[in-house]
Amino acid sequence: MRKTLDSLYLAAAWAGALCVLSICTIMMAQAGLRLNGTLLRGADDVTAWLCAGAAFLPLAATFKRGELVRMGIFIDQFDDKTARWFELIALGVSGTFCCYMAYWLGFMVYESFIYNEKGQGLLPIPIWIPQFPVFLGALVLAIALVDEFLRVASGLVPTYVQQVRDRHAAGDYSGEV
Amino acid sequence: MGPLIVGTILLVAMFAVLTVGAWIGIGLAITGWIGMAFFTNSSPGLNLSTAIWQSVASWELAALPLFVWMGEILFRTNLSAQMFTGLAPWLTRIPGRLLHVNVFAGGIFGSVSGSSAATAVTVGKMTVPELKRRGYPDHMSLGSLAGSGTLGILIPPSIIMVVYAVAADVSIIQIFLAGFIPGLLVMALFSGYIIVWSLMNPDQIPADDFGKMSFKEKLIASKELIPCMLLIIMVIGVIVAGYATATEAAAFGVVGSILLAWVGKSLTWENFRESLLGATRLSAMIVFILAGAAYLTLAMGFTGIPRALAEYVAWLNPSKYQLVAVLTVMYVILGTALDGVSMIVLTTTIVLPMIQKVGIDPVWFGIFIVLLVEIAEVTPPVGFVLFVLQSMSGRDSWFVAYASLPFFRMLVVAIIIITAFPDIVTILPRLFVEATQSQPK
Repeated sequence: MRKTLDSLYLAAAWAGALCVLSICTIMMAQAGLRLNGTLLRGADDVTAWLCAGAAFLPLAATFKRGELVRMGIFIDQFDDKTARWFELIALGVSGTFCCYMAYWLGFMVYESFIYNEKGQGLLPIPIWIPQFPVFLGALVLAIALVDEFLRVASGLVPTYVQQVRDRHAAGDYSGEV
Repeated sequence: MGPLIVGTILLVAMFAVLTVGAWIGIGLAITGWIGMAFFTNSSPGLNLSTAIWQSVASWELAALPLFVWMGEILFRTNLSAQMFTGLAPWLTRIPGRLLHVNVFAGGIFGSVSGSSAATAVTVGKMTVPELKRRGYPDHMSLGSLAGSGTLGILIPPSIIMVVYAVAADVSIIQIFLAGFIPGLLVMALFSGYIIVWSLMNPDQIPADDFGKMSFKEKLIASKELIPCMLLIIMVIGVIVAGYATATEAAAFGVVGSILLAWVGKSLTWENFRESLLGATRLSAMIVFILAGAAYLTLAMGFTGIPRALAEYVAWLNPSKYQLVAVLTVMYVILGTALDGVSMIVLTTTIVLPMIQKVGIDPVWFGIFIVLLVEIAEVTPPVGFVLFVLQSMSGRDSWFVAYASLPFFRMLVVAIIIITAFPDIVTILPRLFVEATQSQPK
């Protein structure tokens, strides 16, 4: 179970990374073709859609690694035992909201699908296709939050806290803006 | 209920949600939900999905992961190792000698890395032991490092600037251009302080031990630094010349930095994979905050809070300087608790209508806010740069905070200068706009 979930988060992160790679490729192609005098039809739309996928798919992995920022000014002051109660509240509230968010994003995809909505730009493809990764990313994030809630409830130190400690101990601060 | 009362309720709710440790993007969206569900008649769920989709499916935002990626690639090359040996020979003649390496390395490295903490660590790893070995005073080497670690977000291409441009709906190019002179100004202020301090305390600066190097030898010492600087100049250059959009230029930057890494023999599969995944995660984190804020903005738009606040400010009729002073205090306080991205995204929609009412240019305001984020990063208790330097040097947080105080003051001086002479910020973007308008393409 642990392994399956962790590979789910990693797979989603890779899907997001592929979106970034594709954005880069399309932008290079567009700039190259412009020199040639040709236009890449609909490239801007595709880029925007890829950007949406790149933003939401990696969220679960980002959260697990402790790279999703939060206001640590209070919660970091406590020792692990006291912090646990705050973590449970934070995870409970955030988890509930993310389930709600995933539900409504799923609803948006469903509506776009049954009403057969098309993209408004130069590429009239069904809009549910680029919307789907956003829903998927939110869903995986919701799963990760519930997963983490159960872990903390069973008495473990949150993964996102442990991972940051390990990285800082190794002198790696690349996750911080 | 008046919009200002609703605003107060939402502010309290947001503070409560964020204090218990909810992640910023989620916390902002929850606040938006409260506003939408209790104070408007529209459907909070439908609006949530629409706001998220519309804010993340954005062509302009696509520049963000690419700029981050470019930094992540260069970050993993030998560039950081070259920083000290490449810069030091050029700087031995200036009073304060090798202390200036921190300032210049921070400026160069920061402009590719987007992260102040990572800049401070990477530069510091090289310079702190070298400076200590040569006998430079600890407080000067740590202080200048803290100050120049924050330079990266002011010198384009800067990730924080892309975030502001998207949040405030101003052109990325104009913000980048606006950052140039203030970036040089801050570097000059930092170096200037080091020079003045060294002239006043000449006995504390160790003698020059680099010996005489010919110009050619100096060039060879910095041979990997120069291509990197050329790459940054090229990326900005193509945007300004109008050959490419910001997103396309960012893609050039990625390809260019991969080439540099390849030539420098540091392009391994592992580096490539880690840089891509790292960049994806970092930009996802930022965009998630933007998405949460977009929903909150929509909710606040429905409740009419930003308009009410702007009208309130118009009724108070403050001078530009009064408003800038109040905002400075507000951001310094916010900066003690929030990181730079959250601070910008959270406040832009509320503050922007106010500043436009009193006639402040949003491009100027972008640079102003970036300077304040720099200040926040060297202010205790949660200045991240301070925290990093503390763990790196083994000194306590008060020593580091005290050491960076003069550089903190220099940043305040920079704010005063750009407030008194706003042209420093706005002249380049204005020239750019005039140039593009006079020769329509």
